[in-house]
Amino acid sequence: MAGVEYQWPGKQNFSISIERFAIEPGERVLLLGESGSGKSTLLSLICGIILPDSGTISIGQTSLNDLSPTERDRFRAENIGVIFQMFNLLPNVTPLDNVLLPLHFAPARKARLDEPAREAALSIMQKLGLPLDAMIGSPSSRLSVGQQQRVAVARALIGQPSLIIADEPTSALDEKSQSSFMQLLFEQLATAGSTLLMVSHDASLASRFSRTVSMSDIAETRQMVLA
Amino acid sequence: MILFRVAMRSLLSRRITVALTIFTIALSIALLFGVDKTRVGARTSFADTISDTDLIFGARSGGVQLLLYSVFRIGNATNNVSWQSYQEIVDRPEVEWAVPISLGDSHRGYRVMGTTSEYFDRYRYRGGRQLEFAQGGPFTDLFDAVIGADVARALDYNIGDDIIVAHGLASFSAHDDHPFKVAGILEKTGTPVDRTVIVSLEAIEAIHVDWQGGAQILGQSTSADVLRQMKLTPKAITAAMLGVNSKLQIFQLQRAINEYRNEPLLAILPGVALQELWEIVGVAETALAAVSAMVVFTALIGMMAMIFSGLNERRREMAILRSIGARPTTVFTLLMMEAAAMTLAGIILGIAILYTILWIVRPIIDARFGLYLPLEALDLREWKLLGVIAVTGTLVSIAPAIRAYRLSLADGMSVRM
Repeated sequence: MAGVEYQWPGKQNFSISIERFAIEPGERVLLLGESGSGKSTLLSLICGIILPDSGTISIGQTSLNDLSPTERDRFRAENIGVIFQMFNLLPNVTPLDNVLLPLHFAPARKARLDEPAREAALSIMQKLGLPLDAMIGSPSSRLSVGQQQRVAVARALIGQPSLIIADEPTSALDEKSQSSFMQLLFEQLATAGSTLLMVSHDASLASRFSRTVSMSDIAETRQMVLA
Repeated sequence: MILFRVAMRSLLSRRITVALTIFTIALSIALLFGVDKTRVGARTSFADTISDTDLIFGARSGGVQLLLYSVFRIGNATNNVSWQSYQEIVDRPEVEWAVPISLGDSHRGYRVMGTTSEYFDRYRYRGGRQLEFAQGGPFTDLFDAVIGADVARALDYNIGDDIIVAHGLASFSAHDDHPFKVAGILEKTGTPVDRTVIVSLEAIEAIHVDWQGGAQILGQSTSADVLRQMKLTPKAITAAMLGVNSKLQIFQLQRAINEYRNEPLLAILPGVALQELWEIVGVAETALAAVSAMVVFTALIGMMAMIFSGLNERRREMAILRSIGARPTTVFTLLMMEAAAMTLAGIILGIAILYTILWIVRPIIDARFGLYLPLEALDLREWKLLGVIAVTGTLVSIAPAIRAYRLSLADGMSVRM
């Protein structure tokens, strides 16, 4: 990202500017930031869901600025996997369909699989220790928090996207669960060879990452409290 | 396919609201098609009531009125036709056959019609079908009566049972000194004949021999045997059905009757009078159909409101879809798919409700109102109408789908409420 400026439309009281921010392929980067520091805006910019008012954002050799909205959606689907704070599975859909959905939106990601999509999804879920019978018929809302974590990881990693973005995935977990989740995530990343950008406000995770950056180091945000 | 599963799962998660919406659409469709089937059934029943009769004539009134009282037993004649005029008309060279009818009396709410035995040969319905007897036969004695299928069933009459004819349609005076005997029971026809008691013209004269000014002359009662010996030529009839020798002569005979000088008469072609009736009824039919169509439209608008109201709660779902690569158009398609599925379910349920209700109420309506509602498969016109509803149901979701599209653009990967 270089020279990025962004202001949410209709929200005159918030803007973010990033002079330069880069991640090398295969890096595991922890991005620390307080609430309201612009983390979600930064992730939306990296994912190409919103475009900066000025500046450039590139992933690999692709400049998101040069892509049409449709191309950006396609690029995101094919190259980026996202893990959310609350895992954000579609609650009514089966875990299997949750994992399969990104492949539906990204044929290239599907093409990277060396087996049929359904088998690949079940295989990755099995590797993550998920009970397969519970993955097929029941809605995801019936899963335990731990199972939802695993499904979220499977959904982000299936088809080996080059970039994984994790938005505070451990914030709702206790220390033990946090540790096992991180271990699981890193194991899978090692297999997929993906780059990781994880956002958190928990500095204790820093030791697990190759690099830690703070939002305040890379971005300048302006917030005005309206009377 | 996976998107379809997502849409269905999403609908399932809101099953109560969705079920109520589908039920509302289903009821409105059942109502729309119920009204239409009743309309078509009524038209068919009316159109099938009389065939192969070239002209009907009676005292001058309106053409529709003459048709209604002479064929459908609805309403009353304004005047009678004298027997002399009737004779002069049927003696005309154009007339091949004539069947006089005399109305005015009743039996337990059913019209009593005086006519000749030729009525059973000449009266045709449903494209030329002839009356058939389920039991017994035409009248052979002066006090024989032939009853329609509904009369027999409703009053549990059998051959040989006595029938007391009441004077007029809503009178407490009865011709109880001259009971009739059931000589024949007709097969069901689906026409007003089913609800008619048919006696001979002479019998109508006979039961009124001792009557004057609408009341029986005190102390006077001529015995049945004496009546059987009397020459009972009617003084007047209510109307007559005519057949002509050649179809080319119909209008000639009609003009001659309408210009008859001795008394004011009116001759009508049943088909033309029926057409006039449709023109009158058509306005009410159109209004009823319009109200039913509005009910369907209101149900579809209700569905749109339901989708709209759920959008805010579903912003998170849309944001998740966007984050895993769904385009805003996918969100749009998803909502359209849900609306189409709800409309389709409403249509299927509605048609099921319609046919179930038809199956249950058909015999009741037939018995009560003489309206035969056929239990037939949907025709091409009805399939087209269902197609229009399905498309409209999908199209009404465009507004919430556009809203969802815009929300998904604005929210990006995070829901900002």
